[in-house]
Amino acid sequence: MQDKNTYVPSRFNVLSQTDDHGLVLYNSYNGAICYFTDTEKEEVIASLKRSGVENLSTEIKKELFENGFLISNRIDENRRAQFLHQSLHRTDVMHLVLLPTEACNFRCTYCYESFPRGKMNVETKSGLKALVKEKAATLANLNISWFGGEPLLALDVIEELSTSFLTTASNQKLQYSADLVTNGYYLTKDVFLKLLSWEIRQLMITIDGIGEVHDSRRHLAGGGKTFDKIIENLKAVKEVPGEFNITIRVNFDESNLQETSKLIEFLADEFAEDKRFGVFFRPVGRWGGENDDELPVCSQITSNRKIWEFSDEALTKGMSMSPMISDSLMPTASVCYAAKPHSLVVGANGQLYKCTISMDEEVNQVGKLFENGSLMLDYDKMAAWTTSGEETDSVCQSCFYRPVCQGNHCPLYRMRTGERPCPFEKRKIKKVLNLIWKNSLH
Amino acid sequence: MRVLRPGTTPVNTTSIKSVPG
Repeated sequence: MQDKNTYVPSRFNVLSQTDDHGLVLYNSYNGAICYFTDTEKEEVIASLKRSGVENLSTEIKKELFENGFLISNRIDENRRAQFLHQSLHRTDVMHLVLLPTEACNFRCTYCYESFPRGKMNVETKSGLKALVKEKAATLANLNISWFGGEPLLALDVIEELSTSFLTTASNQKLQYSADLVTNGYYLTKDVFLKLLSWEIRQLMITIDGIGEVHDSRRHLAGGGKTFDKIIENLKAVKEVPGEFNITIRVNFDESNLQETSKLIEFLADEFAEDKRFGVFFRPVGRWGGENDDELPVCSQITSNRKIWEFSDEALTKGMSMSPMISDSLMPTASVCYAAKPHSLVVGANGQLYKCTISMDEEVNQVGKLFENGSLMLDYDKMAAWTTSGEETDSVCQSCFYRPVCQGNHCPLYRMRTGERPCPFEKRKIKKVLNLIWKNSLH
Repeated sequence: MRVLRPGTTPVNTTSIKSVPG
């Protein structure tokens, strides 16, 4: 009887061929990624046949079991996924996306933000310090994302809050991590050293092309150039010792698509030898900016193809791929913060949001942070963001990627279009796994 | 076989967060 076999392949497995005819295996429930050589491949594939295997009689079968690719036939993987989804409601984690200012010195052509106000006010800063102090007693993890606006316009706010958070984290022995998205214009070596001292070790900076290509898309509010300054800053940052990661993001559309290969060459010349710098390609989208109608966005087919073609090209030239890619393949990692119950976006005036894109939409204005650290929240709005994924979408429930995004990669996209917001990585998972393998050879 | 990344008991930490951008 075939169904009596003790071990069966996990429904969350993905197999992908590598360029050297080997095999990469990935499991979306535990995040494991393993490489098997050409000579091992045949046994791996045979061991993962749908009917399962009777025992773990060989080394390879044992390895497949130890890494979660073969599982006991008694396991109900749907319940595993359900339980994982419920674990998002654990109360010992908190992720705050903070806008130390909502102003920006850039006016990028495709930006969706409207810059309605400047630096964070005193009441909101006090509220954040009090909130974190109060919550810290029951937290194991506190994650802070500095966003904006351009956060480096409000370095004093970042300093004041980081100092308070770090003291609280140290007193309560909780794990603290912080990341920051900046246009890079003010990221001098001195500023960068300060960020590191405040445990901000993961940064994202966007470069859209060389010189004029970048400057025509990502210019100062007065129209001035920005490329040379950003590159000068990044070269200085490269000289800083220590552990950090800089993701260089490249936003592409039909107008800079042809120029991107030159940019990859340029970036490889500057940063290929430093693995702390990695590239990350994304298509420009119409997210509500004032120029949306004029944006020469790529078709979905082109976008899905070019993201990974460019990544492959960069790897071939010796650049690293941003760890954001492989990190996003971890279970729960591609559930948007907007869909996570214990994440909040805090505006400069204490207004609370779930999503960082649709700031002006009623459903996204979920509450208010007060000076004493108390929160007023509209739980009906909160529920709209946190329960729109796998709970109600049966296609998501049966998807191999379910543990990673849980149908909630972008609740905003689902609200606006009614369509499933599948992550770019999922759509081209075999290609992505091959690239992760290639990245591991560096 | 080479382990590129070990699996984890998938609750919050690797052997995990989404961030702006």
